Amino acid sequence: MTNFADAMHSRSHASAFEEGQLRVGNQLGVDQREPVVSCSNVWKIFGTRAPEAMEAILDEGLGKDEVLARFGCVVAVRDVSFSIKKGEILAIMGLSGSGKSTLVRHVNRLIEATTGIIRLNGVDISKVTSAELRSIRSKQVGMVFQDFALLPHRTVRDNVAFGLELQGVSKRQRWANAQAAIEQMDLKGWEDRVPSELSGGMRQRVGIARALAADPSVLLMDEPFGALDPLIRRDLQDQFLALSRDLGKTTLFITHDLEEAFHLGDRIAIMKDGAIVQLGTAADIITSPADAYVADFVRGISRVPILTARHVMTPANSTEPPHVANAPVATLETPLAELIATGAKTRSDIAIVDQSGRTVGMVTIETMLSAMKEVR
Amino acid sequence: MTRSYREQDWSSSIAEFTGVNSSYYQGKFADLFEGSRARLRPNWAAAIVGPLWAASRGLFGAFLVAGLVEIALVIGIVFLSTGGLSVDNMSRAQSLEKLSEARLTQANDERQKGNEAAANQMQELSKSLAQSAANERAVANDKARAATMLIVSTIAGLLGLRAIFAVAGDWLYSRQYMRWRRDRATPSRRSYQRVVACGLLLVIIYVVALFGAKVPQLASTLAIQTNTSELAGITATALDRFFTSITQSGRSIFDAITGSISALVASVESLLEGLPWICTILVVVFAAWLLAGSGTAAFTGAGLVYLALFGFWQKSMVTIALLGTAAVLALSIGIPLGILCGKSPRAYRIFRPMLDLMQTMPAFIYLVPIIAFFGIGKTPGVLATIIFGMPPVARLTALGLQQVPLSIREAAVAFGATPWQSLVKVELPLAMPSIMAGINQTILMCLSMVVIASLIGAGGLGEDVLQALQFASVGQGFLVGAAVLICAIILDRLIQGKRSNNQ
Repeated sequence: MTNFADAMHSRSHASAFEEGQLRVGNQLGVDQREPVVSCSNVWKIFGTRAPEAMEAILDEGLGKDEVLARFGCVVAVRDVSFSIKKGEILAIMGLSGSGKSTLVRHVNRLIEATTGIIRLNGVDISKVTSAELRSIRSKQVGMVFQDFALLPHRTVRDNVAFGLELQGVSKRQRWANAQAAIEQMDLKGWEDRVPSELSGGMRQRVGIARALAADPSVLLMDEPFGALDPLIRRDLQDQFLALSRDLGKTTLFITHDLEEAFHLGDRIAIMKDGAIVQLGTAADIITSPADAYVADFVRGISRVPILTARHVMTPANSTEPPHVANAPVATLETPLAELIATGAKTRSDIAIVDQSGRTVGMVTIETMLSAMKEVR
Repeated sequence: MTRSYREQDWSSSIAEFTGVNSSYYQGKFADLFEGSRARLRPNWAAAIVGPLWAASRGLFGAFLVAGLVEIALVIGIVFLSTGGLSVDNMSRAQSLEKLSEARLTQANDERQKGNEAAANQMQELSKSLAQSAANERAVANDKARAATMLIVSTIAGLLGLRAIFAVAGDWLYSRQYMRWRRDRATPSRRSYQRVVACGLLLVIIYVVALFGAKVPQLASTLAIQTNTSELAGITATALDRFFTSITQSGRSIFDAITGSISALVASVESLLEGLPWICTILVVVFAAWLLAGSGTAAFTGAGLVYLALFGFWQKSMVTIALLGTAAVLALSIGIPLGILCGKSPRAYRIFRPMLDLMQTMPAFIYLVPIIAFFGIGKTPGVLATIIFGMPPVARLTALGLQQVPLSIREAAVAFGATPWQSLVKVELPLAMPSIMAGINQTILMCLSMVVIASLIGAGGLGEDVLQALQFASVGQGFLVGAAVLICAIILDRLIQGKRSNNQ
């Protein structure tokens, strides 16, 4: 870990100096509160007549099917806006064909938006030259792919060092950085193997190490664990979560698995037909789904790990003090799982207090049970 | 509850497909789909008008097959019923009878002249001729009887075909219906335009086939000169003039190409021939060991010693210099061309027919203009070899690049690769197995030009092959063949060696 941090440290000195010359660098880290990635009103229409179709959509408000019928164009991303703060993980959840993979490719301009503005570290990504774009892709954005997309003829070490090699970093430096990333992902001892000798989970760890090697500020994860079996997926999710908190990477995480989205995402965006249907925390989505589509999605999800006392308590009537004097006490942010444990042990109601210690509500066994099964 | 094919949604769709007579087909298709016994009932329209029914319903494949088979059978019947089988025997019998009569009159003449011996001889001759004529007549009668039998069975075949058609027609038509459900462009409904068009086709074939030979007027108008054509003659003359003018106007360019290629070949040749053979063998064996391991090295050593001991050394070196130079040139043109075609679908569309042409056209055809431009000797040999040998490596390079997974290419771009970096660091390495297969093909095809190259005076092992061919000396031929084979294998293994080591 120290090794890795050292390597990254020296690397960031060098790159800060280089980037100082670029327009890109001037705006870097100006304001910590400014979002690292932001999209506003992004549309993507595929097809030769995309500009016409775009105009018709804005003027006449055409639907997806009408656009296909009239212009032969496919609307892949429909008026998407969001922003991500530093260190945040935004999970983008949707079924296949919902446009989530297309959306994420706009961030490093693998796909150009039809209209809309995408900012990466404050820079409008559509305005940079191709050389600047390459520099942004290699230094600021790391990408992980569903099918790993490793180079089969290269060793693990050279795969991980690939991005740095493209930047022209010296062999000594890039091997040092690669080694740090490899150890970060628990791949020590596998440096000289080729991908075909690794298991699926290990291959994706190589993919993540490759994305981390250049110490980018943004990670784009395109269904990274979709091709793995459930146990390994869980393992990698936890490993990634810990790492992400450690390194403070801003992450866009694509998934079609709602549990994965709830597990990893600080916030979750649910996409359907190219548009974001709902954007919010797991608890937001589960307690107040935006529409029937979202409600349908969250129906089968276990609410226990997501909800907290704030969501399940019965607010206290100020005129009526809690009727059990020595009830166990919990805060508003206490997870439902803990409340259940406490309730099961003490077999009594739980008083919920705010920061000032004032009782703001009650949680009874009944409210806990109904919160667990509640379906709206 | 099982759904029936007689229900509303199916029967209305069948009606839409068939148009007229829909109620018959609704019932029939349901029988077919349900597998009931009634599915074998014949379709009388198909039985009576046969191929024309198929045409009217848009079953063009069935129309063509059944129509052509019927034409063949009808022509057979006409041929048989006009005595086609026995006509040869009949005419021979007649001429024999005539001869016999002539001899008989000759014999009578002789007898009148009092030349008894000659008369008897003539009479004998006449008798034996008459006997042969009678034999021929008997054969003809036999054949005529056989022909009657054949006619009967052919007619039976024709009727049987119609019967099969009557039963299978609706089954074919139901398959067409299922195709139509998937793709509305499939022919549907009954159309008289199709009947007229297809009927006209049948009529023309019948008329020409049956009466063309019998009616001289028709025959002479219809018989296009299919063997010789003035058109071809005129075009060939024009092409001749065209090539001559190119030869004359491009003389300096052709001379420059000839000069540089022959200088290249000569320098390689003098290098290979100049080294004492022991040294060459040592160097090549060492290279083989380095590139492809000890097994290949042993084979290489043995093969080279064979070349030296059996007296093929000098000619092998000439061949290697010539075809090796051609192969290297073919690779250095073919691989970049393949990369271009692999990266740009447009370029591939332009070059693919050219590559097809180069590979398909017999070498002797482009040999002629090449000789016109470059004379005879080593240069035209090299050029013809390049034309023949280049397509595989270009094609397989393009194929290899096209098969690089999209996601890996995308990953390269996502990590900031320039197009050049993506090509060199990602796409070419991933395409390498395919490219190596192309290189292998190109080398082997170049070596297969050894005989053709020597035909135009390029020398080398091919000369010995030609000699063996001329004097039909099998033994010599085998020895030279083995020498060519050894050259090919050694070259191939040396170049492929690295790949087989890795994998």
